[in-house]
Amino acid sequence: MKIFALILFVAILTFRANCQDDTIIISGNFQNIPLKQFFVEIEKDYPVKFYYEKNQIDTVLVNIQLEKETLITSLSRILKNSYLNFYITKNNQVILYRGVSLRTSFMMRFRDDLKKGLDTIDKKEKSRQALRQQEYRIHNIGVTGITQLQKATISGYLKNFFNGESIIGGNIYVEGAQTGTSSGNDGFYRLTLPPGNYKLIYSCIGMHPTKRLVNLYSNGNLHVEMEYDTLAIQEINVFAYNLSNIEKIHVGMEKLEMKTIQSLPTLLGEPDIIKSLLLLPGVQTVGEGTAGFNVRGGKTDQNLILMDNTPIFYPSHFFGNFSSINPDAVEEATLFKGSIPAKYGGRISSIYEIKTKSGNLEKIKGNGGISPISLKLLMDGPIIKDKASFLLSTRGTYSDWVIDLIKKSSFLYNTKASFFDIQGNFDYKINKENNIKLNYYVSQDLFKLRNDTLYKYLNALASLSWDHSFHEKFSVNTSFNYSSFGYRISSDGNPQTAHNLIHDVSLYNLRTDFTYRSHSLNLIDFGADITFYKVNPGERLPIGEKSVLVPKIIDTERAYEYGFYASDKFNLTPELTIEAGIRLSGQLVMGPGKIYVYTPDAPFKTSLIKDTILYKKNEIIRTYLNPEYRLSVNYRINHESSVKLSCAKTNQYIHILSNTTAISPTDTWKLSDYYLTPQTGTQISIGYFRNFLNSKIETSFETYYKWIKNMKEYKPGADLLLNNHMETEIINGVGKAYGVELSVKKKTGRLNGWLSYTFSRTLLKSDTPFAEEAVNDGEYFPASYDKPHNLALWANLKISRRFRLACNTVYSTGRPITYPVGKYLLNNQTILHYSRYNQYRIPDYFRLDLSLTIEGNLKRKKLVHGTFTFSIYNITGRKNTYSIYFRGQENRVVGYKLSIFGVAIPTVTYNFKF
Amino acid sequence: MKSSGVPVFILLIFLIQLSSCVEPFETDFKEYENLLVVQGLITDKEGPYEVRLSRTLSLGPEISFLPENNAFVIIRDDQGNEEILTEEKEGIYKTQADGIKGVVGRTYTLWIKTKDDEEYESSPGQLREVAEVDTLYYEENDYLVYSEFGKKQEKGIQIFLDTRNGNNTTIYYRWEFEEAWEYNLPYQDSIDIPDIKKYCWQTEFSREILIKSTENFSNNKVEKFPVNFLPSWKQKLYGKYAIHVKQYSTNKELFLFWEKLKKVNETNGGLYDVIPASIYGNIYPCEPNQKKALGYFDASEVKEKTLYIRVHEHQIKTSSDLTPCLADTTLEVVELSYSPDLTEMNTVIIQKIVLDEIIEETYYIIGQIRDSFNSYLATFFRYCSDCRINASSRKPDFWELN
Repeated sequence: MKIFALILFVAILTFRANCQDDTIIISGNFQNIPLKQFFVEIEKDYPVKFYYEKNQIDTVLVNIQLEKETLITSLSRILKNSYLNFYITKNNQVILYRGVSLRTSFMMRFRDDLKKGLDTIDKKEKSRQALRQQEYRIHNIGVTGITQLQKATISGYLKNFFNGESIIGGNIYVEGAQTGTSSGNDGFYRLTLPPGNYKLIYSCIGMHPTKRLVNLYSNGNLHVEMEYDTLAIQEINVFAYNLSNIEKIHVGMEKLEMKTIQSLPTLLGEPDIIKSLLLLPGVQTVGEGTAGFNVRGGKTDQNLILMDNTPIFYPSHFFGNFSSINPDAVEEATLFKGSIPAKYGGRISSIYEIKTKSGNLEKIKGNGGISPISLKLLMDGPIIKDKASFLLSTRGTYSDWVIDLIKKSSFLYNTKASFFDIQGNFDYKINKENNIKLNYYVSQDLFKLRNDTLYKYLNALASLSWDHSFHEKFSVNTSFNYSSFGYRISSDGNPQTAHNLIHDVSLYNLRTDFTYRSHSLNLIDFGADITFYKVNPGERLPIGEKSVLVPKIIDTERAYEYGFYASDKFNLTPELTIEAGIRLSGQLVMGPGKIYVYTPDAPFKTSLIKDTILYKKNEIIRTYLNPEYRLSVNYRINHESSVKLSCAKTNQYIHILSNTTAISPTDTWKLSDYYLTPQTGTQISIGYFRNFLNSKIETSFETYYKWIKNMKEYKPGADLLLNNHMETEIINGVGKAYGVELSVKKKTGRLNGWLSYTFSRTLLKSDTPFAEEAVNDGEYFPASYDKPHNLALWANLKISRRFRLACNTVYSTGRPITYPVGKYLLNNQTILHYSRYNQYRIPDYFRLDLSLTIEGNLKRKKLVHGTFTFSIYNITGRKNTYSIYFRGQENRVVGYKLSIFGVAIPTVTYNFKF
Repeated sequence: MKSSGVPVFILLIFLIQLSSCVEPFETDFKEYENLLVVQGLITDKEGPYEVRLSRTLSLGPEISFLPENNAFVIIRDDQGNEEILTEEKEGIYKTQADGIKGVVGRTYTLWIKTKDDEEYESSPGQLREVAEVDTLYYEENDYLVYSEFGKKQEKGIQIFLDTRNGNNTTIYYRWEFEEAWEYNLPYQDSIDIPDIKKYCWQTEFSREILIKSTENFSNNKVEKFPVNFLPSWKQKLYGKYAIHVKQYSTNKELFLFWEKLKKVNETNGGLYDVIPASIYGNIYPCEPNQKKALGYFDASEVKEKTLYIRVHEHQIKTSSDLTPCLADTTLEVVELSYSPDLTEMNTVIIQKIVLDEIIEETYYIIGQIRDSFNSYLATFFRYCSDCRINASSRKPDFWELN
């Protein structure tokens, strides 16, 4: 037996050494025949010889339909449920044996591959090697001898070697020529160059970069397949970013890598796609645990968060403590804080574009996790192999039953806490020209915090998107999107005043985006979108018969927002790329509606209402139309440095009304209407980008100046809830924001991370002709989120293949607050008098977080791959000030400092993949 | 012990939301805005009516009232009646007892000229009717006291108010109250203490803005409005307690003023609280460039009601501030060779020999033990000898006769 094994081992080596090209393809229907008979039949028709021990194969029956399958797949299918293994020698001799005796590592690997249903081993191995050899071969493109050609075009498809999927957004760079392109939606790329010798470098996130040596004679094709990055366990390859920050045209654009988001230490062990933004230069928040973020001096409602083209209104759970988007389902996330592509509009500070993953086309996969607050599970896989796939991700809390369990402690008296989010998609590749994708997303929160008020929040999104390419250069994406957000706050503590407070907003959006790639790296985008908004500003309805509250319902608002755009990205010279675009945006405020007419030349006051004008259904109350421009310029000084410039103007027609420091649970959305004019933002930014050590270290310096008009500010103590004449509470404001952002990133190596420093100011001013209603006497004052100095450091150290340490350090100036400037006694109560807004600051903020991730064992074959993450939030236990407030007590004024996290908060998370 | 690890994490979320940490914050207040503060009210009751004028105070010193003297203050109605108020005490201006009288339906305006020649006027306000107070009642409620050691459940008394379903004009209600409770020295009858030192009352005025609007209610009645809460650890419920509530109606302008003032002054530092801002009432400067004035002038009918809570009527275990006076260590019987007049004398200096040293100590005299000839009972604590130290021996005006 030993000798036999030895012979076989030699045979394997021989086999490895002599991979053959001419594989045997078998077709035929074999139903209920003994294996032996099958062998006889095959031997008859094909040049194969089988060797076996008769008594070992007696019991095996063949029951199979073969259609042009290779010998290896055929055999592996037939022998799948038997104890038999087989070997094929170079002379197509098949040796069968009982498998146990031959557990060599080679064997295992082959069997694994077979089981996974991948292509045949030898083909795969062969073609992998062939693919790698492609890097060293010289590819002759076109026909020789046409000497008079000035330019020639190389075009082709970029494909994933393993599953044949198109690689979208892959970068193609011509070394030495300082030019390049990227692949489009179908993986197609096109490069026009003078004939000559080139080295083309192909790279893409998650893929191993590859190169091709090319002799370009005339127009021709070069299709390129790329392998997955093989460095880490399914991790995204950092090399993919080579050159990208130099090449990318937009200044103020930040691409967040999922790997980074996953490895950031977080408060509750939940990787967070929104909170992670706070580590980027120019992104701030007013306080920990609050919803929303501020980008370059913008308010929280000035960010458009797009999930697969669909705006999401409130991407938060638990009042903003963490975001409701499962990062596992996200392919990539890009924040545009400077120049926003002309394609997008409707918000004046930033666009956060989140693209979700599509399901795997080959096999069903999944991953999940357990963190202190939630359980999550993601599954994806094919519906029709290579054509249609699905992805489903769910997260939910299990805290409610835990609360029930410990309710007796009465600390959690009258407390409820539950939330879930579900998101996913179906992707159907009809053919090469057409692709349809259906996305959906639902998130819900339900909270009751030790009192009688129950908060319920609901977000729902759905979109149907159709990609169509007319030909290689011209494609269109058309999508229909729906998004809604609403809350219901039920207070039933006192039966007499029991009520529900309801607010909801929904939008229906239709958009179509054309992309045309003409000659010489010229990319033209144009399209249009229209959105119908419906906002229920608020209604309060009594609950139960005992409630004596009168229902109060504020009239529903309706509007159409529209945009038409065109933009062109082209290379003026090989070093200079320009993207110029215009966008025409506007809004139609639709009836039915009621407009109050006020006494002219006086502030809006309810006492000054002169008349009311009623508008009928579908009547246009007011039309807004605003031209916008976008310009981005990238000048590449050399392949390691570039200067970029951008300027952009944007308008915003929907606003969050909030006169609290952070977005509060009862804040509402409001459309621009007859009186509430759209907000306008204009920004100029300039950036210098420099890479060092062969792009291992990226540095950037960006500076911006931004003007904001018609920002919504509020009169002191404004009542924004259930108010049907909001214009009496709102003052338009102007804002100016400026800053400098510096960052250093190291994206590769065992130690990677980034360091960013931001200096920024945001100043606001009331813009009103009436001095009496101007805040701070009409002078500029700092916004509540104006934190001039910001330092963030994120570092990730790979200690070994299984251990990873990450650290997160944040420092920022304290936010401004208002101090009292006097006190007085009124009806025996000491009242504090406040005057000018935001003239003081809370103490500076500092936090250090650490996390240690332990990967499961490195065995290739196992049921699940598990990862434990231990993290400590605020490891120094610093009592960071959340707010400072003052109360009058007897004759004294007492200041209080409120801090939320006075201690270090440890969490453990378990994540798994299968 | 089952699944003891998990709740820790859940608690964590709630700790973040709820048990955050509040510490005193010391700071210097650099800015100070000096403004006129007006507090004035005319009612349908007989005068004199009072208008208080003061200035805002800087935040450092612990004083509460900086009077605005020598101002010229006039109350006018829409019938052509007016009266100049006289400054009776510093900053307190009053009408004559037989002077102007508030009448329901008339409109009143306050006009002020300060000694610096700045003129202010209130927006005209109609003296509105107000519904009767239907009932004042209370419930014994549990409340939770939170501390770093966890929560503790305590009992207390919550006082509520219902109004009568009166006329439909009252939409905006405002209340003020005065509360009083017995503050009696806790010694038994065997000790002779003059009544004036033994029986006192403590009084307090409402210190919160108490307002309610029935704008959103189908009936025009306020039900179960929480007026005041009496925790067990205060003196208030140890003896007889009384609360005297005055009910006013106000107009929309002033209601919004009170509402905003309440929001801004009763913040707990949450980021969902309204950002503090200057809140002005209905006193307007006559010149546009002049400084604004704070405060209000209102006109309203007034309805009153008193509620008594006697010790035997509730089950709250209360404690008295004077309990320490009963402790053995504070009481000492001292023999004296003379017999002083106790209503006049408060202290006596006693010489004692402690560890071979002669120590002089001041004793506050409580009273005399009746059946003893020449010995006195004394104590170290001053407040134990005379209730007037912490309270008043004058019975509150609204206190019932017996």
